[in-house]
Amino acid sequence: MAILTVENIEKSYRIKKDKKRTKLMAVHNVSFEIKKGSCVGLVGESGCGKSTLGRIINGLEKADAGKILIDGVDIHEKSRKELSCRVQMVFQDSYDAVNPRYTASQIVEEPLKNLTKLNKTEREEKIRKHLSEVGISESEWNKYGMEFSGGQLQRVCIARALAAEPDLIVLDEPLSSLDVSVQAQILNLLHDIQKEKELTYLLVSHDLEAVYYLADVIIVMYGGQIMEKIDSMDYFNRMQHPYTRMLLASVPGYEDAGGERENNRTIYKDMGTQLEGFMGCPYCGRCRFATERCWNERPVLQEVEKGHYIACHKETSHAD
Amino acid sequence: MSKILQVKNLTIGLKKKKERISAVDHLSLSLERGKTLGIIGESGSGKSLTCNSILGLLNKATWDVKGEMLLEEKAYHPENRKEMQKICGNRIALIMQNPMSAFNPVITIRAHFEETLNKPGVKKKTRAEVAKIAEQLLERMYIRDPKSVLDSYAFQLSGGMLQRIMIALALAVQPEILVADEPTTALDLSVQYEILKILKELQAEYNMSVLIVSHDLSVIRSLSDEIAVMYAGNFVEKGPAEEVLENPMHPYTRLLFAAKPDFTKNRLPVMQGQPPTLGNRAEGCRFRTRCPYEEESCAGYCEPVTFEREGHYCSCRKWESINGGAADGNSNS
Repeated sequence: MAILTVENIEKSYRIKKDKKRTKLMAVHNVSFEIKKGSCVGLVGESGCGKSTLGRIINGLEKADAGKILIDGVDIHEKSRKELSCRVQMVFQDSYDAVNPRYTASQIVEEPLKNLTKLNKTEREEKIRKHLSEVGISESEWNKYGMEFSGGQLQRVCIARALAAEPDLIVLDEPLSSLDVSVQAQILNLLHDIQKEKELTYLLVSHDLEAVYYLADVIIVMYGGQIMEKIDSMDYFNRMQHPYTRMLLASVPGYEDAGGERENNRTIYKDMGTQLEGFMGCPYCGRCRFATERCWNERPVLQEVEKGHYIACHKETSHAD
Repeated sequence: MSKILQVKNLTIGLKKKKERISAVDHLSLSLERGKTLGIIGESGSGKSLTCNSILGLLNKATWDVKGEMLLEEKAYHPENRKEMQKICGNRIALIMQNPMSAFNPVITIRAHFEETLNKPGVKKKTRAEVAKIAEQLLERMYIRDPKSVLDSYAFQLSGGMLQRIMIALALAVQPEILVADEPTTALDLSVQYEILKILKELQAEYNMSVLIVSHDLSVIRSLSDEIAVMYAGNFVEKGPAEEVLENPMHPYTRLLFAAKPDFTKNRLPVMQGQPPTLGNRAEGCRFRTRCPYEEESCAGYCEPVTFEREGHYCSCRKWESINGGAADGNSNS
């Protein structure tokens, strides 16, 4: 059953380019569903709209068009409080995400105070439970945010997200500010609490290896659009959108099958493929298979096999 | 093979009112001409400090630097500003970690090139000459339209672009040694890959020696000829790249390599605890508080990288028993 449904979300920002006012399409016509208890990995480069999408789902930004339904109810019909009880967020930089004047237990207490009607002793019990769940020892409960190391504070932030007992947690690059050995600890922790509490995650990350470890569904975004989507990790090695192939080829640990590494064109000129009025595929400025059709017609997400969707003229035309 | 850079017994301490907190402890390294030494370590291990001390960039008021530095067998003194002016940016160039804050925001990229190329003691170049060199280099970095880039300010360009410009700036003087301190952390994966490729090409072309520092194993793996693993202020392991990657000897190296997810759903083997912060390091072997093979004798004393197997050094006193017993466990992961 779908816990979250995203329908045709659009979001644009007004910018100035060459002294002319125009709009940058940050998220363009994105739709997907998240099933209860699953983890959806959202991957892409910086500027592809993945963080914006995460923030829209959490109600931190308002979409221009489209709907976000939680259990079939539009989030705009819910109050801020109701939404916070269902969706929580873990941010990239944990030091910026906590109040520096709060101790660890106060950080975790905040959502309990605001979102529940528990009294003081009940709240204390909950704080104790959540902080020990994420592996913060009792001696550290009265430390301030700045006194923790990055990994420990990220654990406190996860505890804070858990305290509201949400159904969905949006993890916005939860690992990128952490050391390698600590990343593994946090990944294992996220995995364990998900299984234990049947949580649903939306993992926004550019680290494909970490996404592979946690996710059940992978969505690849580029230029505000979904480029490829797989509903099962079995398809991972069959992902074939030119952008996905390029992304995979730039992971040093991944086997480079199609010689994609040599043809990699990461360095390119911005050709305004994300601006308002551009009708082609956003990736065509970098794609080595780009034809005239790619420049003039926006590809739509199509199912190429069961549970595997691609938005690319090259991949979908011979499937027709 | 000549050793172009040697650092002997480098000790860096943080000066604090009455005490002196040790940050880097009796570290020695040597770099051969045309080769790459990769230093991998977590935050707080002192890898950036080592880089900065080689170039004499540490503030004397806060840091206490001791040790011997040799450039082509000749000693130089990083604390001597006059002497360093001739070396920094001429013979040794540095690529910094954060491209956004490494540029001067009020002058254009062209002015940066002019500043770098017209250093004191070098024959002055005309504007046209500087522009020619800069454009050629930027083109090598796959920057399209270098002319407009030269007239831009740093804040008008993206992080990936600035990082490439910084590499171009460092290479403009054709240094013998390039010190790259986390050159790709601020970048996207696909751009990172491209930058590493460019670095490799240019290194071969200029016969440059590179000292690359990173916490990311994949970066180190793709460039290095030799790898040194740093933990809490000193190397715990060093050796030829392939040898270290395939047969890591030190328990820290083993756990570090295993902790990286590699397209499997298998549970990650986890290293307990946090990397130690300054002034918080264990006595004796610094890794012992997190080490699965810890025993009482490890608290006794700290070993430099002395245990050797075919040019592959390790600081763990128990490496023989660990490598005998756990080699199978490692191959499974």
